[in-house]
Amino acid sequence: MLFFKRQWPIIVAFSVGIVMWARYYIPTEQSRTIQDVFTNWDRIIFGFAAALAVLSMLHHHYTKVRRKRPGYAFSYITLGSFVVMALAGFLPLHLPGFTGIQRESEGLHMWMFNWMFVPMQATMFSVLAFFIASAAFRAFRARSTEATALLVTACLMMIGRVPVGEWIANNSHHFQRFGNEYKALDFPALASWLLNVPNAAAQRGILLGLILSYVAIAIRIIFGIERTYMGGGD
Amino acid sequence: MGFVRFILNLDRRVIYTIVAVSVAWPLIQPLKLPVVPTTEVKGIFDTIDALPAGSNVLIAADFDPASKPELLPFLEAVLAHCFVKNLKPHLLTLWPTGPGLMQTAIEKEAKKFGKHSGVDYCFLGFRYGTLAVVLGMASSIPDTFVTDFYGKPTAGMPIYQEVTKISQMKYLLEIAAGATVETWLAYGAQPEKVPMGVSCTAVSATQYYPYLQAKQITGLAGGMKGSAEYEKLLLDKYGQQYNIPPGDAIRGMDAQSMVHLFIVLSIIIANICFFIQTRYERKQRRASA
Repeated sequence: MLFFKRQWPIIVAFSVGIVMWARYYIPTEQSRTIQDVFTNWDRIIFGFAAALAVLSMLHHHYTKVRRKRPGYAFSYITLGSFVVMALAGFLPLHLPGFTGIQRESEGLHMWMFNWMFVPMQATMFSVLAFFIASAAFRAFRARSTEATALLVTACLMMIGRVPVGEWIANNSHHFQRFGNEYKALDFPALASWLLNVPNAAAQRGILLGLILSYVAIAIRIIFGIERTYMGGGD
Repeated sequence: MGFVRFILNLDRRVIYTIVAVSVAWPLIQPLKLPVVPTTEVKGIFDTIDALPAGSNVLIAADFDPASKPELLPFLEAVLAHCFVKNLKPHLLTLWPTGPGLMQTAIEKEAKKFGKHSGVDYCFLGFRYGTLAVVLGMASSIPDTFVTDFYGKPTAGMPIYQEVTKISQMKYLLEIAAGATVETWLAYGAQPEKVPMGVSCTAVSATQYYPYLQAKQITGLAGGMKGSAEYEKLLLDKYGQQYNIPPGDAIRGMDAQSMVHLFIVLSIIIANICFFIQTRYERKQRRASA
């Protein structure tokens, strides 16, 4: 049994890793067939993972309700919402006031999605705007050179990436230099320069570092050096 | 100093109220501020516009209701553009909370332009397994999505008699609120040699500029601004001919402008007050010493 716990996962990771890596450099029909087999397995595993996630969520909230842990009333709402949404999606119920069934546009499932889920999730995200405005007002201070650079860049981006920046630029003083016409307060041009030059340079560096670390981790997993995915630390 | 202290200790409810008014007022009374399309967004619009009628376009709409105001207007504008040009969009999502939004968008646009599911377009819905789905679609779309969103088998659809895999698509468009852009780029567009465009939330737009400069993507539409620019391009070219009304993103940009302006002004005022207070306290300390 120890073999299946320790050696077998490493053998599987090594074999699959090498096959999928080699396949990328052998663009033939046979290699594509091998890839299709692996991706089918992948999708099946994802399906089981999703089912496991649902069971885990139900178990967590059921236990919370049974033991009456703090905030267990919210678990009732979670379990109730889950059951109602799932039944409305799966069962072909002809409910009064709804002409559609299951996932049809005029069904209860889509009604709950459009008029309950969408506004609730959008509201949660929209609240961020209020917190950001308040936090920017209270905490965004030019205390050091770095903080000042960040503050100036943020202000330029915030004005340069909205139509009011375009409006300010169009209504500012225009002048000629080297045969070209320039605007005195051209915030959109400044924002564009910030995105295309300093931002792109920094992002490229971050991206290269990230990808190289992906490669390093992949090699460590394939050759059995990295074993944390097996659980219990290395 | 009284005014400075008042500003620095301003009740947060005052800020919240100003933000709420800044958002609501331009939506009630549009300011009609200018929306000027950038070269990044034109890169997507021009590529789609140049495709011959009947071309197949793969649209991956990987977002959920949290990003609806930023990305749904872009999806609607792109679908309208595809239908105006008689292109065939294949719509899918890799986000489990996405299909409802996509269903509403594609059914609305298809009805407007008199298009039929399975013939002029296909709504594939959602499948689990991001990378596995992309790799599967590179081999066979009908095998990866055996049925469409409505449960109809894809293999028998007229649209899948013409195309069966990603490499046969003329354009791949990724509308993303998360980290799925790299997956589509590295395993979908690049190996299959399909040109690709990206629309994403404003916060994540900065990380895709290296791909744009390396010409790995033809265009980039960031946030609601990108959506508004696409709507503007569509409106200018086809608005009158097809009776297309101004979209939600153009109206939303007025509200975003006002909030940004308020935040910038509040930061400037708060910093001026902060400097005055720091200087005053320094003077007081010197005087007491």
